[in-house]
Amino acid sequence: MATWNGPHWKVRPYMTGRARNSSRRHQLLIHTLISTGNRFDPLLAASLAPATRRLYERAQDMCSIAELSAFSGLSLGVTRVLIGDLLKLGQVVIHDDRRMSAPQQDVQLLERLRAGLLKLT
Amino acid sequence: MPGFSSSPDVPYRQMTSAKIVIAGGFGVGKTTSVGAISEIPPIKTESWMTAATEHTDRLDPGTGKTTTTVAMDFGRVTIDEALVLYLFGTPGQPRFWPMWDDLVRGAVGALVLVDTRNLESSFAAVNYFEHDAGVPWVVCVNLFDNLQTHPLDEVRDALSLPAHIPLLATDVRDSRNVARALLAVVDHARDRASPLAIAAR
Repeated sequence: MATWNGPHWKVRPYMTGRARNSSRRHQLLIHTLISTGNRFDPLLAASLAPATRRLYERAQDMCSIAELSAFSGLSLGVTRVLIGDLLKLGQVVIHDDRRMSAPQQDVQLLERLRAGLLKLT
Repeated sequence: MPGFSSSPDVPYRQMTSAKIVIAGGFGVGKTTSVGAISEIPPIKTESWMTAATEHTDRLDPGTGKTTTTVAMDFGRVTIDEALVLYLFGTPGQPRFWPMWDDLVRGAVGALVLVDTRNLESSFAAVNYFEHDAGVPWVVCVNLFDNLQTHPLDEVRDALSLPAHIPLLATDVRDSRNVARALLAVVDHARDRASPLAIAAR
């Protein structure tokens, strides 16, 4: 079992915050990449509600919110909320969300996209 | 990065994702274009929106297609070892338009497909990107059977397309054509982001 120094895993997410949970903390877009970050806690998985457990298990391989939603048979909205819970618990990570806010203005990202797409033409 | 300062102990792969939205009316080739270039079979996402399927969408009798994708489908293209591009086809039905904001948020840009035999079906998408979306967008005439039936100038007029919006035509069944169309979106985004890039040409 992976060591984890956060709140006890049996504590519900809303108990760990001082106030109401804010879903604004992470911007989970449909293409945001999520994974469990090279670790997986079977004991935690066993303690999760079925839908959350499906997402947690699925997230062992990095994929997008959209893929997690489709593969788990959960709506996008529910997927976001449950992944948000796992994020607050520190059990999943967002892979590089720095450019999510305005990617259409990120010239470096656009150049990489150009180079990659050019190879496919 | 905010949010997981408590878990820096295990390294994980740095990976960036980008998104391009593919829009247009019923049967213009959204699913075809995603499927042509995606390295995974396009994922249909009917399970996302099962509540909204009361009636079947009807297309022109000539097209032989009576239903269309219920919600949206998406595909994935690996750009380099640390960048993956997701393609999302917009749900075509009017009742899904409120979802478009969610779909478009954080997108690099959008490709709006049009069918010259049924231009009206893409008017809503053109309107949306012209007035409401705030992301770079490009219009692409899907050349069904590789036939260009109308000059692009006429298509631009018929769509009342602003002069600064790129317009191209291609057959989206070919992955290389789709890559070129996506490249047009990225180029347009780059030109907008960096006016110097235009000046340098």
